[in-house]
Amino acid sequence: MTAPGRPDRSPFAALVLGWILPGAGHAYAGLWGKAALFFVLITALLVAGLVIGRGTVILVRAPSEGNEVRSELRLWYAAQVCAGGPAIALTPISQYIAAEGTIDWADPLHEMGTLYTAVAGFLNLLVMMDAYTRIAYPRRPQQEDQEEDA
Amino acid sequence: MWVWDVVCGFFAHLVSRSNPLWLYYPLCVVVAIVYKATKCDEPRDYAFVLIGPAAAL
Repeated sequence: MTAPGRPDRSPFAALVLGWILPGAGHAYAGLWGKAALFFVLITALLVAGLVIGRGTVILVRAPSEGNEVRSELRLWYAAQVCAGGPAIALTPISQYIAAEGTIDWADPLHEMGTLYTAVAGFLNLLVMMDAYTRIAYPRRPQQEDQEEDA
Repeated sequence: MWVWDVVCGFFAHLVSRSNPLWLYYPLCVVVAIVYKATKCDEPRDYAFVLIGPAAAL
């Protein structure tokens, strides 16, 4: 199966849609199977990271009471927010849970949860670029290549 | 003999349930599937990551 060529579609729209919702860029390109696969896997990574880190891993800033200031949170959040809509939707939940109690920053599970959510963001970046290139540079069907070679 | 004990202890720690390293393995599988899915168009190409040689049959 090759990616259907969609010259009438904008690659930038695929990029933006892929950021808003993981896999939406591929759905826009007509690749519904890949879109579903990417949405499920990236959202599952985000949710799994949140559960592993006990809900306190997608933080824009450290809660002021009971926790010291952590500037590296911004770097982690920059990676996490690449996962787009789901990451942004989970941010206030994570901030709320973090504000309710103290965070054990040295907890390996907290680190692992942070890593899961950051990797979800990086993967969505890869998926967004893939959606962009599939529309900007559509692949030719293999049969056409073989006919030209012959 | 103590070297053997250290080596065995190391691998026993790697596979112990209390080791958070376990959480790296599903992460690596997801990364591999997403990466392969962006490179390949045939589902059997990226299913290979999960079910291995059986996908090639």
